[in-house]
Order: sequence, then structure tokens, then C-alpha cells
Amino acid sequence: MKKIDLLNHFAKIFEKKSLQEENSLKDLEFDSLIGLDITTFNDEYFPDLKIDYEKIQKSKTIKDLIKLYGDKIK
Amino acid sequence: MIKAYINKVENFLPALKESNTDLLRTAGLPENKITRMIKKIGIKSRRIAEKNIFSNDLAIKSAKKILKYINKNEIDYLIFCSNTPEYSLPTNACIIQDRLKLKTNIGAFDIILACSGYIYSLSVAKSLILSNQAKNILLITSDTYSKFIKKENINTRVLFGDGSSSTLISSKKKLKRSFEIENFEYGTDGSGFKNAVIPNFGARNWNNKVENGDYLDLNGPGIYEFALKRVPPVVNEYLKKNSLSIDKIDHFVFHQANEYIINNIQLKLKIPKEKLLMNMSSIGNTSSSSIPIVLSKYLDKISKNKKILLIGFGGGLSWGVCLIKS
Repeated sequence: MKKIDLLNHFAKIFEKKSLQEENSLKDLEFDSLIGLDITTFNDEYFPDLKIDYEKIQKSKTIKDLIKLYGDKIK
Repeated sequence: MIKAYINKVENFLPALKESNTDLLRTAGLPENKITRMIKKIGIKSRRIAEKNIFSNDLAIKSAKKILKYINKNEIDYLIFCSNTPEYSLPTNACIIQDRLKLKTNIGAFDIILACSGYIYSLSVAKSLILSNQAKNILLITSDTYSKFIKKENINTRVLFGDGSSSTLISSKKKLKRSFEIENFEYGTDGSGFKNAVIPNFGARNWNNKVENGDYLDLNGPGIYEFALKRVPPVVNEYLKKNSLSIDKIDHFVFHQANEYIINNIQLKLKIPKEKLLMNMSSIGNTSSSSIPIVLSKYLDKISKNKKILLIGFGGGLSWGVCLIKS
């Protein structure tokens, strides 16, 4: 998946028009419900990729989140 | 050929209601977040057992409803399933046998399982019937999770309610609506046991208590991840093994964890939403009682020759599937 597409998916999940990599998850009001939506998204688009919720939770920025997808994001 | 039937399912819920809106307001959440959370989980309120009411008390109440349909002397086995039992020693089923004044020449034991507990208990009950060891089994599920979740732990507290169910399982059809218990499929993955644990509720930490270990430590997203990965395959496996398909099942009863989990599993399995039987909005997740509480609401309304698939999943990690047929 292209990075721009991932950002668009995240924007929908965070209920924002658009997102920047440097946006902090705290400012975006990340909570466990958003965490669940990210898990649902991962299960649909990256079913073979194992991303523990703990890693999602530890992410500070959108950039940190993107890193979790490794080379799956171009 | 001996068969096992569910003849009646009843439930008992404590009277005290806890509103999720009130709980979240007290915790200081803004209104938009409260609305969003309640809409997502589909749980507006839950029932809470009072301070001196425990799982055995709720069990007695639901069991007495079943004993209106059968002479208590005909009960020849008692199974009690709980993850929040009143005692570790003795076996709670023994206490319940005495409190219900059931005869003494019966078997009685506890099953310690969480949200898959009803499926496993049904399988044990069916085995006892088919092996001719029992003719009428009283299966009780009962939990009081509220005693193990602090009010400050809002993310977990909003999900769980207290409640009990009782099921009469017999070798013969006893009432107008009886449901034959068909085959089972099981799953276990203990590597995920830390996703739902009460650390001090057992011998391991009894003399060396873990801080906050008296309370349920729930990794909700971890359980969700597990449910999303494990439940759809086990349902498909069950259907394949039994030459069935989604369209041949009339109703699905999933463990009532919360609507978010069930809706996403339903989407993955492509189950038409109208086939789901649900009952959690004012009850919450009652662990092993959640499936029978749904059944107690709907079974009398289900016509003949209908197939209902029951799917339990949760702490352990443990999961199971069973079909019942009217």
C-alpha cells in the first residue's frame, strides 16, 4: 500500500480530513476505540502482518504507526 | 439412540442498574466521546450485584426459575460454570445443591471457564446424557465481574454486567420447544492467558499479592484481535465438517462481548445481520451467561426445524462452537 493511501485510511479512523506524519496521537485523541479500528483495518488490509496492539499503543505519532507496517508501505 | 435436549433456559439479573453514560460522565469524559463509546460497544447499562450478593446467590435465583418446570428430585446432575466463583474451596456446585435442596445422590461440579463456558458446559452435559450417566442436568452459569473491576477502570467497567443463567438439559423432550444439542468444535490457546486475568484470584499470588491484582486485568484490544482471527475460521471449520453453510443456519448467537466485536465478526463471515440474536444493550457482557441469556429471550419464539449456531470465545484464550436444532 502507498503511504498516502495509508494516511487516508488513518484520517478516516481518526475522523480527520487529512493527517500529517508528525501529528501526535495524543493531539488526535487516540484511545482504545481508535486502537480497535486500527486493528480492524490491519485485519482487513494486512491479514498476514502481526502488529501487536501494545506496539500501536506505544506509538507517539502517525509516523511511528506507519513504521509498524515496515516494507508493506511504499 | 439417546439424544440430549435443551428443554428450558432461564436467567436472573440483579435489580441494580449501572448506566454507562453516568459512569463515563463521572469519569469526566466529554459528551461526544461518551456517545461515540456507547454507540460502538452497544451497551447502555448493565446490572450489578449488590455488595453482599455473589455468583452463587444469582445462580440460586436463575435455578429456581428452572425448577418450576421440573420436579427437583428429577435433577440427577448439577454443573456450575463461573470465572468469579464465591469460593475456590469447596466446589460451588456442592453449595448450590444444598441451597436448592436437590437430592444428594447426584453428581455436582464446577467448570472454570469464561466466555466460552456455556459451550464447554453444554458439551459435558451432552456427554453425561449420551453415556447414560444422567437424564436431567441443571447447568448453571453465574458471574459477578463487577466485584473485580474498579469503577475508575472505565474502559473495562462499561463492558461487564453481572448475571446468571440456568439450563435444563435432558435425554427427552420435556416442553413444547426443545432443542437438540448437535456437534461441537473447540479451540484453546493458553499463550494469550494474560489478555484476561485476575492475578491474585488463585494460589499463585495468594501469599505474595500483586499490586492491583485483585482486579480484572483485561487487554480488550488483545481479546478483540484474538476474536477477529480465531472466531471466523472456527465457524467455517464447523460448518464444513458438518456439511453446513452460513445460509443453512437460521440464527447465530455469539458471546455478547460487545457490538463492535460481533459486528466485525459478522462482516468477516458475511452473516446477514438479521440472523444475529443479540441481547446486551441493557445487560452487558455477562461472560459464560451471555449466550444462554440471549437464548432465554428468544428460544420460545423460534419455530420448529430451525438451526441455531452458538459461538463462545474469550479468556483463556478459549473458544467453542455448537449447533442446537429445534
